[in-house]
Amino acid sequence: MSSSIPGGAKTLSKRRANKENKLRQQKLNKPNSSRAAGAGGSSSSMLKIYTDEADGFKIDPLVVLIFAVAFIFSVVVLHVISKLTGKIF
Amino acid sequence: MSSFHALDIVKPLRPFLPEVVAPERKVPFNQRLMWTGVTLLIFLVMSEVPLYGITSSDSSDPLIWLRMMLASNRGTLMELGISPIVTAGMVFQFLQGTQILSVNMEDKADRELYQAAQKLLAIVLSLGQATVYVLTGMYGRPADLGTGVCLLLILQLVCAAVIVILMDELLQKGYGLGSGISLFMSTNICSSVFWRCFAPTTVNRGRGSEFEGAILCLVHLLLSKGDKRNAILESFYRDNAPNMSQVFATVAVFFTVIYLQSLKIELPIKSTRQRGPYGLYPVRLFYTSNMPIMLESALSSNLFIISQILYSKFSNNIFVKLLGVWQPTANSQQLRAVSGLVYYIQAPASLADALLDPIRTVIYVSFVLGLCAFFSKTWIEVSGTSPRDVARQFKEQGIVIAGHRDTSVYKELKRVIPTAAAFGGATIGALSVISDLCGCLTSGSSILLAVTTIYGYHEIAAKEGGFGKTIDSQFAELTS
Repeated sequence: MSSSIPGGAKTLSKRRANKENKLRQQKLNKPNSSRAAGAGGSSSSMLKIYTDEADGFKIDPLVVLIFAVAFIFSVVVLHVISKLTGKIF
Repeated sequence: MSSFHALDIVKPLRPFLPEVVAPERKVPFNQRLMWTGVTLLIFLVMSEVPLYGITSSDSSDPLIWLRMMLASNRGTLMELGISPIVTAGMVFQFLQGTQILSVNMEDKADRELYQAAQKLLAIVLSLGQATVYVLTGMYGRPADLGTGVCLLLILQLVCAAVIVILMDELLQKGYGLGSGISLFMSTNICSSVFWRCFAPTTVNRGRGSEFEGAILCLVHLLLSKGDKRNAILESFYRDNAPNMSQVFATVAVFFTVIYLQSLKIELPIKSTRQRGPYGLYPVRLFYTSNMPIMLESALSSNLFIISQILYSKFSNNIFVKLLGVWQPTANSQQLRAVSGLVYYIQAPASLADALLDPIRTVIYVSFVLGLCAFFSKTWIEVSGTSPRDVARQFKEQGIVIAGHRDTSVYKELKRVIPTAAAFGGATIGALSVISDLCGCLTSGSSILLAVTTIYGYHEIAAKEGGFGKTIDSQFAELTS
């Protein structure tokens, strides 16, 4: 008859040792990088910055485009005004 | 454990940072194409509209080496280009990579904070850069411009930078096809190549005026000259403006890169969880795509700029002279290194230039090839595509290489991936050197950057089912 009882002290210590071993192994095999694997190695992964939703103040993409067009327009108007005033005065 | 969380500083500022709403459901392919096109159009217009209030911009351009990398255009709204975004991204990548900033990427709140911090840094950087550009007198002396115009200039530059940040976010959030940054970069390169082909401006070199654009010049000379042979020769070999041989060199490099892109080793894989169909895991020759050439040109541009600044300040210092001596080229204001350390890492201007100084050519070629291979090998470690990362990913997904035990996946990947990365890096370096020596329409690295980016976009489009066929199957049809 074997003296060891299932779930006894010996098994527990064995389990603990196994667990520690596993943790150590995982630490050893942990890659240096912090990002997820399988990025494909292309530069697009490096330059990918905004992928998640954060709670800033939200804007619709259409508003971005309108803002951009308005900005370009205002700069052009500035140029035109400066040309006109140069002509008149 | 987390006694001090550096990212928490950003928290109170979060409500003030603009944020593009993510699409609620997947945007259809055609709409994504449309968003990408419209965004590109706005970017292109912004890079042609001159800034309001500049007086002079005819001095030597100190940042010419970085213009390609930063998609910027001198004296226009896109003066800063994408530099704030890229710099902020690099800084955070570095902080995270060196574990100075502990970010738990699995935690959503952490990830959001990280992004917000990055955006904040980009905006602050653009403000700083704009102020420095204006106050150092890039557009004329600040005293001559006046306070109002100085402030207006800074406002224009910052506004443009914010728009670019938002447009990039828009493209990445799922409205566009991929990263905006690389798209803006390659658009800038493509437009400069097209300009050199079809520029309607004229140059005069004593024998009447000629068109500056190479193809336009060929057509014009063929139609206007009596001696056709002479006309063709002249349009192929003129040396003061883009010529037809450069156009053909560019096209040849373009096709070579496209062909080399399709070279890959396919590892047969199978799932341990689901019995049945085999899959293929492709390891491409350009495993790191255009990353090594980007890093290489960023490094050498920075060296050029540092050396140029030092030389303009202390031109008599022996160490500064050892680093590089700069002189303007024959027919323009632009400076080129003529001796010193940076002379050896500067691309030869032409094939004749390369043959005149063979030692320099040898050093240059080995420098670029070695550096590209090194950067490529380093990049796979940093970017999470090293054999160890891929093996872990396989294990998580329950994939093994067919015909191997599951313990030997790592060994097999380790045999293939580092070699592919190093050799691919050296190949892409060699391509850039060759296209520089052949005298393409722009620098070799920019052509590579543009081609690889567009190829990547095409792959995404093919995967999304946009064009129906992949490039590979089209190639197969061509060759069969």
